[in-house]
Amino acid sequence: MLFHDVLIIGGGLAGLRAAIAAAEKKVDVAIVSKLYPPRSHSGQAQGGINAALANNPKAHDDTPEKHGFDTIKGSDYLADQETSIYLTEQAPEAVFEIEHWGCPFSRTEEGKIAQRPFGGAGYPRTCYGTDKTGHYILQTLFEQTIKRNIKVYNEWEVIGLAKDVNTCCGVIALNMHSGELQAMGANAVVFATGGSGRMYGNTTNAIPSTAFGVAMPYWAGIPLKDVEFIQFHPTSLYPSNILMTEGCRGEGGILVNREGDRFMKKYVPKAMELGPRDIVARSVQTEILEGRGFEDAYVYLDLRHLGKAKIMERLPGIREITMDFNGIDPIEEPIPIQPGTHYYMGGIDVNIDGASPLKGFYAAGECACVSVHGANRLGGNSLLETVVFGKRTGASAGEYAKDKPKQPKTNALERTLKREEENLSRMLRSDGNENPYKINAELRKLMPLKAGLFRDEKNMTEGLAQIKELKERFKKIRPVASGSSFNFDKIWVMEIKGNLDVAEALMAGGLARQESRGSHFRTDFPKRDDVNFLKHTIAIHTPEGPKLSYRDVQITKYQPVERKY
Amino acid sequence: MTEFRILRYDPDKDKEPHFQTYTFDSPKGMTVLEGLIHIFENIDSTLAFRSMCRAAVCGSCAMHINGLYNLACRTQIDKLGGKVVLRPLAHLPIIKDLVVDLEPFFEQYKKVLPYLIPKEDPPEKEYLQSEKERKKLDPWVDCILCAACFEIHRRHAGRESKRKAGFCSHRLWCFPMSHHLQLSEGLPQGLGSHQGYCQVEDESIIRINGSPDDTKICESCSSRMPPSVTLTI
Repeated sequence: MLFHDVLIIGGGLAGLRAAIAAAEKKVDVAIVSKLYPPRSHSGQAQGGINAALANNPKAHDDTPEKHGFDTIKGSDYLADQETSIYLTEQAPEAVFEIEHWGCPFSRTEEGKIAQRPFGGAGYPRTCYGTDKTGHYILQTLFEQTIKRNIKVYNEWEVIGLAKDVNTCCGVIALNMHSGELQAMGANAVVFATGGSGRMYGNTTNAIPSTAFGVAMPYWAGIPLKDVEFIQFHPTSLYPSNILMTEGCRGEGGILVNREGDRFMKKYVPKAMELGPRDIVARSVQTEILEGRGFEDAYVYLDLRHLGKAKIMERLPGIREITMDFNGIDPIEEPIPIQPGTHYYMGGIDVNIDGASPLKGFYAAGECACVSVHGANRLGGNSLLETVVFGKRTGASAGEYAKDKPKQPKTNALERTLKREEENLSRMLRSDGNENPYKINAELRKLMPLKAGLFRDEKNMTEGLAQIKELKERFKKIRPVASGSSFNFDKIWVMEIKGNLDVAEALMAGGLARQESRGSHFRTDFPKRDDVNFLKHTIAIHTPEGPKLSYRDVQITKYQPVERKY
Repeated sequence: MTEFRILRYDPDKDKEPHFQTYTFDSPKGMTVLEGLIHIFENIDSTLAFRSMCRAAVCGSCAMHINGLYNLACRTQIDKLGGKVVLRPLAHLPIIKDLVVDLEPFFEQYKKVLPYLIPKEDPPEKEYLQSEKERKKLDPWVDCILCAACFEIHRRHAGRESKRKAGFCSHRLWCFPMSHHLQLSEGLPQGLGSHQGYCQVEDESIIRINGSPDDTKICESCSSRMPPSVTLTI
């Protein structure tokens, strides 16, 4: 039976960084990825990574403390403060480290790492490599895992956790190439499975970024946290919803409606286009809903005034995408954009070490909720989270696994393997006739309508009922395609089940939170309510649906005040 | 109606790959990748193809589309005149349908030691490097490891040759070499001196767009890197 001291599930930035950190603890580490790691969605991050380096002349007095404050304020005070401050204090070192490993950041005139302004930040502190920062960091970390000879199981899809009494003892994974299901033993498992944006239709997220990675631990009894908070990016390309980086606005791009009006002046007159994402996204949507958009679907992101040289130098990737997908050259024409579901702030409940309540089970990156983004993440903080908490979590998992016996818990693993095999063969023998992809498409259509930028009780109640109905229909899906090698049907059916259950938790959490905070905006409760809701939502999976409870937010340094920009 | 002719191969059943045709209505603006997803979700869920970012930045869906290598996600069906012919990347073993075995490619990638090998301890903060110097790296660091050029190098070698991956081992150029880079002895010649080249002999297979300023684009390259940066080792 396969065994490693530490198994890292996911080969994006958080997973790769965790693997490097765990390997430094002199334990046997392996990465299990459903893709080749350089394909991971981290590579689609464009704009940059935040660190208070004070390299930009306009940021000479920037400090990690100010970065911490901006993060907490941006979170609408739902982020845990000690954890957020740890994130921002570690940021400069984390950025220098990847630069020392060869990440080609853009440069200031003095030859230092260049920094650009981003939304919700008091200073230009987003370090960037043109508009391909995620790609560059992903390549850099992938190379470092090669240098360290870290084993990668490429194209192995993890489908469930294995538990021995109250300890995680490994995972069950499908080798996509051979089609075999295998038990993989480990003393510590780190989930770094990325985002869940594909629960929604209009998302910037890559095709495999479903909620399956969050669903597996949820099914295994591990709580999810702050499930109702999902970020809508203000500028995704219409109609493909491919990300148009915040860097476009950081470099001076403006938002314009059908009347030619630079409408952000009505909403956040001081910060304008560089307000935080939740506010800018709602402003764009308001313009569209009130009839000042184009085709009731989009407004313009105008870069033309930046000029050819700046666009070519700072935003070459954006230009390539708009030319490839819309036939539009942003040097000549404005870009049609609309808000798109972008980042899941909620996720697997973990502490600052990335440890979940289940012994031996850890999580880092977007699938985790360590709670540094709270109700609204600042642009440039997610790449930072992956490297800072990837590192800390990998180190904790390595430390935990180090002195444990180096052998798999065979009984528990075989028991779980058998159960998963039975599940799969039931799926093959099903006598139903529902098309699982139609169910998924219906889910993805209803999510932005019922749990989108503007929410209320009526819509969320309807949404919850509709999800329950979809779950019932899902029980009657047609048999899964047979075939061993690269049977994507088998994989997708499991992924869709994950989407349904996490979407249900999201909807239930949103319905229960009768206030507006960050990305969660309730038209029937338009104000923030710190008396009743300055707390984290905790969701536990039950066969009847999510069971909700609440936990206090860690408030240490900054008392919540009204958020103004 | 749009017609997709797809080279299919199921290791459980087939001795040889064969073409299968699917027809469906494709809305304006639909990409080849979206067409494949449409077939998979609505017509035939046994079809295998890789897909990821759908934004032309991850390299998963590189394939042979109507005679040219490209990413399925950024190819519009309309531009292909309603008839789409898809084959997997050639010269890599087919596992199933459009999914090829990428292990030979990534094994090759590892062999060029694709990581920075610093000569000295790094500074306390960042390395200093002018933007002008860094800009020289742009064409190299954009490689998305899609493997489209890998096979082309082999094809042109005409045999199982010593020629290896055509990708650019980009990170080797990240910093001024004299300062931070130590080329290991095993490293093939040419790597350190920007002397790699893309040898293109058969223009019916790969078209080259010539332009006077040395920005020739090898059309097999999904990141549109100049051919001079791809390597023949």
